[in-house]
Amino acid sequence: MLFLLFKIRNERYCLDVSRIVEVAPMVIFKKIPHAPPYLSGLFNFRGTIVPVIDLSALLYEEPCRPLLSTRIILVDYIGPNRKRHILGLLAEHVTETISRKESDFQAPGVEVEDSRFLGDVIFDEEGMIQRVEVERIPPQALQEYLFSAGKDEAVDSE
Amino acid sequence: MRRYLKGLRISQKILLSSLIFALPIVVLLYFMISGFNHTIRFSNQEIWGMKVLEPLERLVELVSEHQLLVRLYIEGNKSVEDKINGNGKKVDEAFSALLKEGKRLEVPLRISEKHLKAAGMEERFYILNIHKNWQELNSSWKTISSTTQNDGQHELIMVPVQALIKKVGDTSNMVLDPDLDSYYIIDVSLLTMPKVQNRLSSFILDVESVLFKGFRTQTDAVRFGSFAALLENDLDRLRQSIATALAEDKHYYGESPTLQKNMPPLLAGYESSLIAFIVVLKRLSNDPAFNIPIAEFMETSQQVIESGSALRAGSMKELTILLDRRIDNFKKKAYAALSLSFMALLLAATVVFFISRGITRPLRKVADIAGKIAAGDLHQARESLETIKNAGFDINDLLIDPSKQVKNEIHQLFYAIATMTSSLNSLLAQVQKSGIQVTSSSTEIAASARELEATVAEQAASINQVTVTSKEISATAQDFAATMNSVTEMASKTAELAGTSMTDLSDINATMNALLESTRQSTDKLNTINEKMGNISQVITTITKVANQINLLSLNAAIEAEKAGEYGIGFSVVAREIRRLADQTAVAALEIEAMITETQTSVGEGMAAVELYTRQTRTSTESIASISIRLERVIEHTQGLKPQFGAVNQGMQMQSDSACQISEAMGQLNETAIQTRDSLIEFKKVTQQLNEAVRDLQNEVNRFTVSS
Repeated sequence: MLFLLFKIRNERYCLDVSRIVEVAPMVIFKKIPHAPPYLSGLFNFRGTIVPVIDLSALLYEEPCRPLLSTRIILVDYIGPNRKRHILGLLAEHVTETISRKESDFQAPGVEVEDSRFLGDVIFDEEGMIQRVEVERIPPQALQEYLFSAGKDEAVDSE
Repeated sequence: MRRYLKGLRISQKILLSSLIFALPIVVLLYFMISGFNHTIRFSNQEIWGMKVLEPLERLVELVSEHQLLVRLYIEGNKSVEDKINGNGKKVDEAFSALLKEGKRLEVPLRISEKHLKAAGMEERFYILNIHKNWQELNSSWKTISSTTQNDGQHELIMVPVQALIKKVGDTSNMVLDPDLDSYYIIDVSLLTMPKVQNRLSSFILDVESVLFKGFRTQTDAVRFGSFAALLENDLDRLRQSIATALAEDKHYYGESPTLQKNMPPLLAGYESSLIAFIVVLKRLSNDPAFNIPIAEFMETSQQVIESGSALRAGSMKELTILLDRRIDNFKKKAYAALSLSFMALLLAATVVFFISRGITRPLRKVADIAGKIAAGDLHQARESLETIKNAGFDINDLLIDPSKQVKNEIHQLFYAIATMTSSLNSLLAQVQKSGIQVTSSSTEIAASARELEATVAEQAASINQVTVTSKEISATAQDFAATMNSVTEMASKTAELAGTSMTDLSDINATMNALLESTRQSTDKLNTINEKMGNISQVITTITKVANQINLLSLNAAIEAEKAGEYGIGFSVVAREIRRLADQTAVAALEIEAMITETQTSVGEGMAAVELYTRQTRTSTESIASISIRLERVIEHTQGLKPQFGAVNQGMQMQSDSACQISEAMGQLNETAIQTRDSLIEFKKVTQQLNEAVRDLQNEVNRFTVSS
């Protein structure tokens, strides 16, 4: 299995590529007034309005630095109402992939409520890499109104 | 004496005055008791008299009888010898009683030899001599031959015995007896009866001698008639005396039962025998034919003498009883008077004791309270006053309404003490309060004075400073004036030197301008280098962007290849290679970029340095130009300065003078300040004294405990 690597504040994380639609370069977002700080704004992805969540802001309340390697990871997101959406995730050093088996992952043994999207852990020569679960990324407060106003798109039968 | 009286306590004074009052009572009592005693002694004297008189009287009777009997014997009636002997025995008995009593009572009755001699009575009146005469007579009566001798012999006894009776009657106060009953009994027993008996004896002797003669003459008859009349008269007197005694008896210490009972029968017995004798006498007087044998006559006369003797003896006995009763009565009276007086004195003493206690106890209490007040313990004094309540006396009620309870001086005293205590209490409280106020005020004053003193001291210091400063100013001004003089001199020299400096400065200016030109050229060159470097940097950035794009593309390609599964494996290998190349390119580009940035930084720094240098050079040049202009002006000024220095110098001098004046004024001010400070110190001392005085006052007042 292939995983996309990225960094948040020098901590390394990975994301299953099967859930990734595309990696897009950094653009200027449409700001949403009164939105929480981790919601960076809206982004036009090939004609679809995509909300972008800044993972650095979400985890450390500090937005991602404006580096060339800072990119938008567009993922398939299945909402609580079983609807499929595209969600943008902003992260740093989105330049590498890593190939690992599912069985290589180990449970971290601890789960914190505000970062419950951080899942199992693998190793390589540089250190630990933690896996990110897409469905758990939007916080409870955001889930309620995320995609609630938009036109619904039914989940494929697959 | 007065001092001693003043030193006495009140109770002692009261006691003393009571004693003084008791003194006359005791004196009166003494006189009363001695009066009683006198009466008792008086009565005793009578009794003693009686004791002596009784044998004397009997002697009179017995000796008369003896005389009669001896006469009968002489006349030939030898049968009476036994009678005479019996009579002699009785006389002996009477004498022994007389001797016994006479010896015992010869002093109080004044019948001793010495007393008799002093009274002008001869030796023959003395009892022992009388007795001697009797003994002589008793032993020798048979030898008497004539009636004349017989009478003479008996006279020797009878006369002194009768004289003694009179004497003892006088010395035993019999005649002065104060009570009527005893007086009349005395009259009967000691005056009338002996006289009557005596008279009877002589009558009997006379009648007997006539009867013995055998006939009676007319004169004898007349004499017998007068005898009868005399005896009748005597009987009347006796009757009257005894009747009076019996009647008066009840008025003197009550009726004597023995007197009332014994006297009438004795009188009656005597009366009947006497009347019989009188009848005999009358018949002998009136009837010449009447004759009576001597024996019969003697019988009758014997009866009269005996009954008379019984009456006399009985009355004497009754008299003794009466006197005893009187003595008893007076003794009882004396005891009653004594005991009553003592009881009265005791009662008076008790009353005096309680009165004095009633005075001294409250006084002691008051003294105690006053002592407490003196000791300053007003609180306790007030409490003590409260306790007086218990004595039926409420001091609080009294304070509310004084007229209500002030009954006597003690209450007045308590009231005064209570009023005084409460007034003193409030006064002291006020004084204490005032003292505290004064203390705090004086403390405040002292504090203010101290502050003022400090302020004055500060002021003095400030003045000193000003003085010093102004002196300094003066000195400095003088120095400055001196300096100005040398400056004036130097200024002219400077003006000369400045002229030469100006030419040198022009040369420097020219050199500087050349330097400025060369610097500007090097700046231009550096700018060119910088521009070129910027171009290179842009290229590098483009390369980096491209490498980045390639990386992105290869990433997406890898993702797509992964999604394509087995079909995408080859593609994914290519994508990874592309990504590695792109990464290497990016690294190389980044290295170049780093070098360029370094060079650009160095160039920038160089340019900045050159620019700074240029600016400094330009500034120097400008400075030199401006210096040169100013120097010119300075030279001009220096040349024109000289006259102005004089004026400055003058001003300086004036300034110095004014500074001196200021200094002097300040000195005066300083003196005033010192004076102020001194007076303040005085003031402080006085305040302190005031404070001390107040503290003393407070200490004094504090001795008193004030109840709140």
